[in-house]
Amino acid sequence: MRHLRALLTALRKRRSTDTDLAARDPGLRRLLDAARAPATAEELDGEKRFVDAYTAERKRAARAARRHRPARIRAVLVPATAGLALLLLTGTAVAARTGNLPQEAQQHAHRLFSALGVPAPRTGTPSPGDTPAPSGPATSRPGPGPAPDVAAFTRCEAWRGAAPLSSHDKRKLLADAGSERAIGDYCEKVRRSASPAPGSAPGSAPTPSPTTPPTPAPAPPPPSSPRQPSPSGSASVSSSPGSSARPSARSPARSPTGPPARASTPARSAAGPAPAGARSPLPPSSGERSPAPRENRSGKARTSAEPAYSSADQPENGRNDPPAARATVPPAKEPSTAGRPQRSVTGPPAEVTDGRRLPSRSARPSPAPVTRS
Amino acid sequence: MPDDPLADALHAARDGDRRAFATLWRGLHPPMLRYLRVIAADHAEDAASETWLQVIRDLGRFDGDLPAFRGWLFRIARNRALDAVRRRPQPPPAPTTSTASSDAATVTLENDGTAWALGLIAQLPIDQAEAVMLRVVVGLDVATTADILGKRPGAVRVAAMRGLRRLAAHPQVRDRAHPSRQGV
Repeated sequence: MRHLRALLTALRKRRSTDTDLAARDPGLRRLLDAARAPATAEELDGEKRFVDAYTAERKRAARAARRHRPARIRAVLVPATAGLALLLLTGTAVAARTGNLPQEAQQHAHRLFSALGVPAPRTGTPSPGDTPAPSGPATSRPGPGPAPDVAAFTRCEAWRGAAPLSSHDKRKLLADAGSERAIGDYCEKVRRSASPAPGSAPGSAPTPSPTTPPTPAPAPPPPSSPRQPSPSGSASVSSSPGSSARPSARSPARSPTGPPARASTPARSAAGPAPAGARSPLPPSSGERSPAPRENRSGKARTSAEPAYSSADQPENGRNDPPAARATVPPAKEPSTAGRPQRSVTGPPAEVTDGRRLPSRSARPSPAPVTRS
Repeated sequence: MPDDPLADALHAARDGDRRAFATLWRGLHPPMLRYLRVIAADHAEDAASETWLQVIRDLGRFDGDLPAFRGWLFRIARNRALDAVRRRPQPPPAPTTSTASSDAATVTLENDGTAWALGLIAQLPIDQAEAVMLRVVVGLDVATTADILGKRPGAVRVAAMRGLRRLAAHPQVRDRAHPSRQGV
């Protein structure tokens, strides 16, 4: 203990010796006193300058503090507003992407950002460009009429032999018609009611597609099916109901053999593949959407204007016909309306352009010019 | 205590009192300028001006007592002096005037003056000169001095002791210790 105290004392002495060296050495003390001497006038020369600088700085700082107050408020408000706006935009974008906006807003968003996948609003009448909703009966419709008509038409077509008629459909057909004998009249009535007017609204066209519930979904008809001469196979498939698709899928095998015996109008059912589709209720409705009926209409026009065609027009029209229309081979049982287009395609060119090849036909008109000349 | 009026002045100067700042400046500028004359010689005035301008600019943000303020002030001063020396290197030191002077009256005046003392301190190695100035002349404590110089407190103590011993061994200082020899 005594040693420790002695050590501490020695340390203190040594430290005090180091720091108080000046006090013990008079020369050093004088030097340090001179170095610590009071300030001279020369040293205090710039006092006013620095005090003025201090005052100016304080004024500037006070002004800056006043200016920074709104900046601080802005620093709080701007991020909050930006965050709120971001939240709002994100919510709107999500709602638009999932189709949960109000109808008009959704339509507007769809028009602007359809490329980003914003869907159209779920309205009752799908636009022609829209794919039919697969929800089936859940989709809203403009009116209740067309759906039962198409179902009944499907059953009638099946009853005529275009497709196998299930027992369920047969029962339903019997229930709708009242009796077995009245089925023919009923189906005729259904056909008339289902065939649209020439200026019918396009909204009736897509209605059959969602309402083909009872029949099992058949394989889609091949694009080269004679019933759908349009080159766009997808459009014709989507627009034609299952009832029309089913016969067309099997028609190559059935149509040559003809309809079953109970078919009241065998020509019509057998003529389904070709331009006779222009008369059946469904192809016209699909014709509103696909260019195929236009070709049919042109074929009709050709038949009606066949004698007036010039030799220059006929080959062109013949070439412009779609391959499916040219390839159609009308059966002998084809009605006159269906046969004329075929003749208009093949007949008139040979008749007009090359009169010498068909002497039997050209023999009659040929004397007339001679007599005139 | 002499620091008490400076402590009050520091408090008031932080609040924008012009007179308090003048008091603070009068109390701290002379030792700072002397320290700068030791380490920066001709650049001392420029470094002092830059130091006070920075203090004026940042005084509103300073939060501490008077010892902390003195440490802050001298740290700024040292940095500005080093910057000034780095920018404009000092000219080679002139020969010692005390030995070259032939006029006894001039020698006596210089020896009595602050410039003589600072000139002798400036002849020390720089670490010892800084330690002597900050520890002994300005009166900072070891910790603050070590913090300013970037050294450990023990190194500061050693440097100050060696500097004082070297000064004490200086002939002019020894002559001042024995005034009877001075007139010889």
